[in-house]
Amino acid sequence: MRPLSTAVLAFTFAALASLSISTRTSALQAPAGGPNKEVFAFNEESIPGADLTPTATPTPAAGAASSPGAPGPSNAAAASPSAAGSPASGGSPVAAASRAESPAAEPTDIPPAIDIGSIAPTLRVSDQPLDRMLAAAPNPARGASLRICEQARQEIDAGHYDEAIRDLGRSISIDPSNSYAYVYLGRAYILKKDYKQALTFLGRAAAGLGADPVWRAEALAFEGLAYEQAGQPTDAFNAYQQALAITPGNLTARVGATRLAAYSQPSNAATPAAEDGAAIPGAPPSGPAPGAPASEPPPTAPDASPSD
Amino acid sequence: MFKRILKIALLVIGATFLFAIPPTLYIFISYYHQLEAEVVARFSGQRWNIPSRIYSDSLLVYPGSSLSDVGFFQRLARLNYHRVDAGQVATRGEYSYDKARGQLVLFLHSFAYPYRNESGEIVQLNLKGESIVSMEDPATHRPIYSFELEPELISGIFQGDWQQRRLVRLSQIPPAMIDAILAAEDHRFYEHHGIDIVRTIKAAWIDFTSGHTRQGGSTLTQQLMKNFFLTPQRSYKRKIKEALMAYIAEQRYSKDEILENYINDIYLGQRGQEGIYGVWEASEFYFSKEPRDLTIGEMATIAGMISSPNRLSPLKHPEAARQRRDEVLASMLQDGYISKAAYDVAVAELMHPREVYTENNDAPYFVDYVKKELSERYPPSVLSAEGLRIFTTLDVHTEKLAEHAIEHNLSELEAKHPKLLRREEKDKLESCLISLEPQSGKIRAMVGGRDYQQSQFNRVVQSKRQPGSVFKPVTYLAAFQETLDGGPQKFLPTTYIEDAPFTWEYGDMSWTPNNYKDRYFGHVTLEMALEESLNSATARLANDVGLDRIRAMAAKLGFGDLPAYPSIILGGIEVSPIQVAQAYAIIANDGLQVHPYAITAVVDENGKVIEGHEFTAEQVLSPELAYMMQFMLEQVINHGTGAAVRTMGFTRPAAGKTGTTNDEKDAWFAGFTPDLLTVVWTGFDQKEVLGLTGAQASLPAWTNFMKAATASRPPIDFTIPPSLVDERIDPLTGDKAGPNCPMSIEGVFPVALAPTTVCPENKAGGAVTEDGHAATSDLPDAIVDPND
Repeated sequence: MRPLSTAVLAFTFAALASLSISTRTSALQAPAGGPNKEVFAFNEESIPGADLTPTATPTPAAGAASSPGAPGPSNAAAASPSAAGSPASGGSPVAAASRAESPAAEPTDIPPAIDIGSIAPTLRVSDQPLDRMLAAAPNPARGASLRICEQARQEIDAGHYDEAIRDLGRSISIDPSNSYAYVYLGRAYILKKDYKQALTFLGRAAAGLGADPVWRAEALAFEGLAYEQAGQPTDAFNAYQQALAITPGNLTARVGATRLAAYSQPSNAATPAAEDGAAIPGAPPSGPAPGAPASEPPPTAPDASPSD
Repeated sequence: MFKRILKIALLVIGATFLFAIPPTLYIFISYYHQLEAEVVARFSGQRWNIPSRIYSDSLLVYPGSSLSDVGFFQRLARLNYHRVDAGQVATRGEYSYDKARGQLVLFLHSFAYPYRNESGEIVQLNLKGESIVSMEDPATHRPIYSFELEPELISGIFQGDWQQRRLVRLSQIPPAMIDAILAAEDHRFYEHHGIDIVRTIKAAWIDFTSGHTRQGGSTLTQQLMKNFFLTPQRSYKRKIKEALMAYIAEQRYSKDEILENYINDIYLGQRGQEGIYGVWEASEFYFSKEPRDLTIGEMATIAGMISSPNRLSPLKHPEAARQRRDEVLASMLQDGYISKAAYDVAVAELMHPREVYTENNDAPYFVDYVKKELSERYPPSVLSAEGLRIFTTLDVHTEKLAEHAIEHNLSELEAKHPKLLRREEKDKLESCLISLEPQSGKIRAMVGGRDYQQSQFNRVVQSKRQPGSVFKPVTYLAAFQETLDGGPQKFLPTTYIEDAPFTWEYGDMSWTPNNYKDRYFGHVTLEMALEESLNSATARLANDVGLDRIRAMAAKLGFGDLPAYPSIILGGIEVSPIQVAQAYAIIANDGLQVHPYAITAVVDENGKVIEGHEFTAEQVLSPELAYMMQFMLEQVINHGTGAAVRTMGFTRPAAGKTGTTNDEKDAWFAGFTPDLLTVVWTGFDQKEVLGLTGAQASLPAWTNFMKAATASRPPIDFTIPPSLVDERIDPLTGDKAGPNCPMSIEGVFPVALAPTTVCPENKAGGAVTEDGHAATSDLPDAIVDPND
């Protein structure tokens, strides 16, 4: 009897294992022609380009082909939080390649969606090569700085966060007015799980990108992500809302806001007039520091009014 | 009788053998073992103390750069690149410059950066005038978007003498180099056992017949033993010891091991205080090449120098070096190391005298600062002996601009104000400068005094002086912070305050700050109060805001816990210039604090990065608060006490503050563009009265330095955050100024506090003043004699 029971156990184990593997890989594959799946994942570890970019990674100097089409609701999927939070979902390029090839899995634990209309979502601008910006660089220093940013973007994609941070420091030294570099710094620090530092740089990016609303929204969206990862859902939701107010199609913000709809405040629709005792827009956040346990959300007003 | 004598003789001989030789033999064997132990210990342990080297930052070169603005040719000279004719660039370390065709071709050195190795590529720079239009690989025409010019060696850390060497394996040296050395120094190296008896006897005979020690007959092994253990003194005793040690070494170690030690050990010249040891260092120093890139002639030159490096230096004595080179080549030919054809080519190589940059203590104050920092983390035995490479943030070109600016400024001041002249060096007028990038934190230049040789006291970091009015922005920041926090009082740049005699009562004391020359201007905006550095208005503002808020703001900016008395608001404390720089950097960097730093990376002799720098920042002030202060400080330079910056021709967007202490002993200027911040202090170490304001004593040095240092950077403006607006308002009503308003001043406002209604004076056809500081009957004229 012993060999038979052993065989049965082995068969059962193998079946479970293969089922687990197929579920995991299918959860992480981007649908053909769909957007980056990672925006639906709860954990930033599975978010950046290295992990979950579509199989056709855009790199050619002539200009990258962006993923065509927009996702329909049926394509929406999310890795389960436990899967996303597991060490195996970290930024390994090899894991990224295999994940990118598997079919999408059904989402779980998604809060009720907010109806944000039929606006087509935009691809994440900071994932795209910076060729167009390079071509339009206003001065040589900006061009040199952006090239280093592009290098850093690829390093982030490849999981080399420390290298990216070093290069971005160099980029800023060459052109301190290049606020785009701060967006990538923020992303790199999110991936290093240093959310406080990420928020510092993303805040700087947002302050300096007033003339580029799309990128400003990108910075705010990543702020939302950083807050979310740091366990501050209210601040995260507010940041996503700010991003959407500027660029309604920002996908990171859309999905993030959807995910956190349960934490939205009922009264934060309009920009309040400043009153005595009320914080002025632009004052430093008075909420708990990132990483601290989420507590009673402070009364903050939304930042910028919508641009359109 | 004869038999008896013979018997005694035999007895003596027998006794000698029995009693004298064994002890002698014993002594000799003991001595041999002692020498053997020394030889083994030396070969087995760390054979050399490899000094640490301190490098500057590298330079990224890209199209749009101007060669003159970045001091490109001076950098090439310091890096020992040498110029050849157009079309002749063939090896690393060479460049050609065809000005007529607008082409510069550069073959970069290989360099081991902290995180990568660069093998050295050829770059062609296509120029228009001094500007780089494009760059390409001259062979393939592949565009090159940027390249790095390697860091410059600025100093070393060593004990005793600076013996600079780079350890290499024998396999890393071309065989022809080894052949040249053997041909020059020891033909029979592979035949003898450490001592060449024939050569030794010959040398001894020459010494004997000449009556003194003239000729060395040493083998390579003997030379190595002499260098390892013995003095250069020529004596028979030393020669015997040397020969014995050489024999021992040959018994214990292979020929290749001995040769490898030799090529790393030999002394081959001097660069300033730095001794050049080993063939690798010699190759780079004399020919700006790695050994693999040397020609046969160049190898023979280096080999020929071994016997007398300074007398046979190809740089200083090319003719003597050439003659010796030819002797070595002849030996190589005779020994069969090279063919006749190769010999003919080698002897035909020309040897030109060449200037070599020998300064190896650039930026001495900065180097001291770095060494002090390193000494807190590494023991001296590591720093001076383990061949670390320390990469710093210093830019040598910027440093030289700073040194020149300080030196020139002091000369000018002493010429213009002879009362400032002092006879004793230690009493002379002093000045210091620190320049850093606020966004990255990199310290780009540091000048700690007028003459390092006279005084190594680094005033940038070690001196504590009263900052005077450079401290005033702290009060205004505290006031604006209260407003942004939603406090009951609303302080904005356009808020009015009274500039009139004022006494501040605190406890049982009182304090009455006076304005410069006791001039008061009544009702002024905060903007004007800071522009003109009005003490009374600032004190009144501080009284309204509260000392606690001001002290908290000062602590945020890095001034520490200040005492709670009112005079601190006018700079009645002691701070160092680097503290002032750190505080102003926060303002310049939109509220982000990036700590100033000097060390980028520390790399061990194996190329492993043992210490790096992580780029981090902390949001100390909100971007809005920082921008409001940037705006205020811009007005100081555009209209106020710092206006001389503009009259001296510095036109870039810039902000700054003058500072003079009440007793006129300290003169400051702290200012910044969006990408570079510089603080200058001038005064006497003995705290004598200077009698000059910050605008007179420090501002000129700041301006001259910044004009040159920012020339290579594109002009950029300060960026207003989206939650602020820049508005012109009617100063009387506070309403928005319309196009027809008779007068207006500029201000920045949080969006929620910005005026929305147009001033009632906005009538068609009315006169409009463009200059917001043009006086009305309620606004004072600009002050001619600045009160700091």
